[in-house]
Amino acid sequence: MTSSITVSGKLEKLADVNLWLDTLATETNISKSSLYAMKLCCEETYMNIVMHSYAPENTNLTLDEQVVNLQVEYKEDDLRLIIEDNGNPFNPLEKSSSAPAKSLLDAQIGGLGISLMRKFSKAINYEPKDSGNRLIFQFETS
Amino acid sequence: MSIDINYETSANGVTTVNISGSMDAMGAQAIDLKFSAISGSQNKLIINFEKLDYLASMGIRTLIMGAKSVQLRNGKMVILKPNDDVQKVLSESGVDTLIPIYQDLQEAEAFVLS
Repeated sequence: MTSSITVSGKLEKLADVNLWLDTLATETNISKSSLYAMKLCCEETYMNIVMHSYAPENTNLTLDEQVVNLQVEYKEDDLRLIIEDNGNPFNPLEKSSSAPAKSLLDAQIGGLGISLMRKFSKAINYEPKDSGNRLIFQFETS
Repeated sequence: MSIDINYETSANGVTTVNISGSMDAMGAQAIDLKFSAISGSQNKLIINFEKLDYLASMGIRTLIMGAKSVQLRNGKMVILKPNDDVQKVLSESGVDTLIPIYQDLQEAEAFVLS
């Protein structure tokens, strides 16, 4: 099974993406925890794209060009989520995960997304595109 | 999926904040103002996650900012009854070492009252 959706790179479109993933999960036997992992990785990536790649100061793209393509590929024992944008080259896997804070006052706000993506997926691969970025997540199916 | 937040303070001074639904980026944004008003004014806080289905990093940001504000006033804040997936997000992000997590209401109350 393959399903895809294209949305404009705006924060509020995350609701459409989540609804799409919820619907996919009800149509297949993707487990609740796999759906959670997929939504989490999807949201963290999507937020990076919206807040960084498509931030007005970082892009010359028109609003029409600022889209995010998402695709889920699901086979018996293989679940993948592919997320593509047209923004500047950015490989989140090159950012090191920040060490956990030792106290509340030291705790940094933000920067957690990438370490959560690593913890909740089986594998992540980054591929640069001619213009933009492609992240491929693999998840457990059960 | 949407988010809902409500709270009540009982006679012993413990404020229970019930957050239900999805604390995704939009959910966090929707409750930020209310949550910071509560965490900026109450010193004994139980954040009840029993009906919270989903938490991601923007929601963690909201939680940490609130907990910092409570700690600056020497107050106490705990999380109550996260589901398994939310618990995994809290532990993988290290939040569980910063904000105590309880599955039992009496234990949570005893901690914030101590």
